[in-house]
Amino acid sequence: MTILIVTLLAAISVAVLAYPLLVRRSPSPDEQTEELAAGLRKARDRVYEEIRVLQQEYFLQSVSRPEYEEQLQAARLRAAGLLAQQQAVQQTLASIETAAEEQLREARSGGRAP
Amino acid sequence: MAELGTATITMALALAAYGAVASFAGAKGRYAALVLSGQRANYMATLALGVAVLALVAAFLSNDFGIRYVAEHSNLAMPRIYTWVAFYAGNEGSLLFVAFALSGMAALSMAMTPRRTGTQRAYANGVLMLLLTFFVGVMLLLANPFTQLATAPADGIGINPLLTHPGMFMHPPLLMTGLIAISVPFALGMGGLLSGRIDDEWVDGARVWGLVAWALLAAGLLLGAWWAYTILGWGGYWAWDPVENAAFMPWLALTAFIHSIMVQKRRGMFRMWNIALINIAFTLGAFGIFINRGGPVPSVHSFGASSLGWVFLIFLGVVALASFGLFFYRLAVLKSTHSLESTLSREAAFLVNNLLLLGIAFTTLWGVVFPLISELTTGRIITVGEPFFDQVNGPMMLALIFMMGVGPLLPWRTATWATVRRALVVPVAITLAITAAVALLLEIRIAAVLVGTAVSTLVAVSVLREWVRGTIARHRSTGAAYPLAFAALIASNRPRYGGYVVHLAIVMLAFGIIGSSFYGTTRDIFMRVGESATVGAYTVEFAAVETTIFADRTERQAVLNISRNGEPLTTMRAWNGVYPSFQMVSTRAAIRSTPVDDLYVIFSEVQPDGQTAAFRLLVNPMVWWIWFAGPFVILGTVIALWPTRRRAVAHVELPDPPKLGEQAGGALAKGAS
Repeated sequence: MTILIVTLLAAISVAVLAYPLLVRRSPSPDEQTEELAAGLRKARDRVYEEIRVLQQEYFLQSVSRPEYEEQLQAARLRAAGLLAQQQAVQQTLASIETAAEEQLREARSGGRAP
Repeated sequence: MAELGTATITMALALAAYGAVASFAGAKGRYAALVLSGQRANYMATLALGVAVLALVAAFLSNDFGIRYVAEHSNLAMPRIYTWVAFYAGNEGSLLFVAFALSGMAALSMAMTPRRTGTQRAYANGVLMLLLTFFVGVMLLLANPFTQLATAPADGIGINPLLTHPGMFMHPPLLMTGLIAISVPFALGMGGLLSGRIDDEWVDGARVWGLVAWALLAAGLLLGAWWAYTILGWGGYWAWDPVENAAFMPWLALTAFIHSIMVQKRRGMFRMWNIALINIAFTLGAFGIFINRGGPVPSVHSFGASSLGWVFLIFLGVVALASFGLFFYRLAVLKSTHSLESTLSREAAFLVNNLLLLGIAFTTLWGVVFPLISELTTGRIITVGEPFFDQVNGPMMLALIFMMGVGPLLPWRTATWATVRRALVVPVAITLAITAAVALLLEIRIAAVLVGTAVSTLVAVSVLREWVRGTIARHRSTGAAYPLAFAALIASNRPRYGGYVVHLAIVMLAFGIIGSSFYGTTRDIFMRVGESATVGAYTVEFAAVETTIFADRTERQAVLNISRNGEPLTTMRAWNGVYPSFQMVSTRAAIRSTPVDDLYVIFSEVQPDGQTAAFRLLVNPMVWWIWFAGPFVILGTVIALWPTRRRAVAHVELPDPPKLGEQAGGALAKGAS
């Protein structure tokens, strides 16, 4: 029983560890763009959170009005920048998708498998 | 089971070592496949250690006394329910538990860390695997729980009687898991330093895991205090014992860290300070393991000691040198984006709070190492007693509680004295009124108690006032019922309001500590059956003594009739047990606990006539609040850690850059509100 469990565990370990090394797979451009988009989403959510907290602190009178306005404006600018970047990434993703579809269409019209 | 256990531990060692090498090499050479392979080694090491854990549990359950560890920590008379306690009752089992907890948390933290963090994550995994390699290596080479005896005995020695207590099911695992959990934020920080990137990703991960480690340690410390209170038979719950301090010091450093990291998250400040703090917390955690396992100073926890002190001392030295060496090497990337603008701001309050916490931690450290220093310099061991800790740490703790009350009232960045006055005047007035009323009603004349009551009340007033104001404002603006408005307020900023719940728990703790430290009553007395004695408002009648013989102990119970101011209240049973195989007498105090006070009776010694016994009677005011605070610590942490729901955001075409600032507000309103 011990030999069986140990052998099984060892075999699974070797397979799991070796798989990424044997099956070489570099991330595709759209995966990389997705990663970038996720990072931007997170950064944007963080700025939104900051704005929510700021609004709440102003609501509870923990922040003076000039300071609130100054911080709000700064946060909005940062968020706007992030939204602009997000839009650019979305466009990149869309263009990748369009290119892929184009390739597929060409392949089909040429009578070849993609 | 022995072969399976040793084989899986060996496999875990190989996997951890491979994981470390693959992660570092993959990160250095930007070889993603190797990094991924290293991370998978982390998961497989957890699986291998999980099998080892199951093998040891199975060995206990099947009374496999051929395994030395099982024979030394259990016997046929041990109730099966204590198998879990016996598992970590000794050094070898503790190491297996620590290794399994570390691997589990390492796997979970890496699975939760976003892939986009790239080399940061790879280096962090490398650091975690390096730590795992150390613990598994020490276990396999020096303290293998699966070492076999040449001849299996018919019965084992049994579990240490002090460990047969409900608190032991959770106290040691929580403390061990808490101490080792510091590895995760530490590894994330080291990963950032090694990759040269300390950004917001590290802040998020380190905050979450810092809070997890903090809550585990807090719960472990409280359960340990409860265990000491009920089983050690001296009527107290905290004695500044080296092993208690060993867990308390990293908890203090982590408390500083989880506050300070909020400043980095909010204001981009204290980057250097946060890395230094997590290094200090981890080094103190390593010191804690050294004290706990090495046993260089006398402690009531000596049963957990071993001869492995030197190994953990080397580990401590390497950790301190490597982490601070890297910290200084990477100072340039740790520059904050903002600097402290005013000493009258929330950031400054956080800094003062941090300095006080570290002050308490280092005072405690000095008290712990002083016997070692005195032995080295004078040849005599001079231990530092409770008065030292109370006198030095007491005022710092009061100042810390004061900052807990004042800090949240201050605005970020900067404030004028007028702002501060406006924020403080109402809470301070309410606090002074309550303190004066309490002082008059309870005839409090001790200055420390008055100050303690005042600062604790200030914290409670500040928190409750903000909740009341926020709830009323939400009720008015949204029309929601008050309970819903309160729930919405808490949900609107969970880290902040979760923190406030913990602050209220600290207030409960403070009241419990003040009450029991300054107003306790103790009476030592011999009573014959039928006699009674008075302590405070209670009368304790020694009604009978009952003796029962078990396989592993002779147990005596004192039956006590309790009355208060002449009115019969209840019957309590205090007991002690004589364990011949451990040459030990273990006691269980009889405790009647209420929010006002505890009646605590220790039944310590029966005279040869069998009818006369020695008792210690105590009335400990407000101890109940210390235990009551525990669930609030956990509740506050859960609220603070609860993930925020992601909101759907509508994408809109943005205007040209020059108009961006003006129009951004409208475009963003949907997402931020």
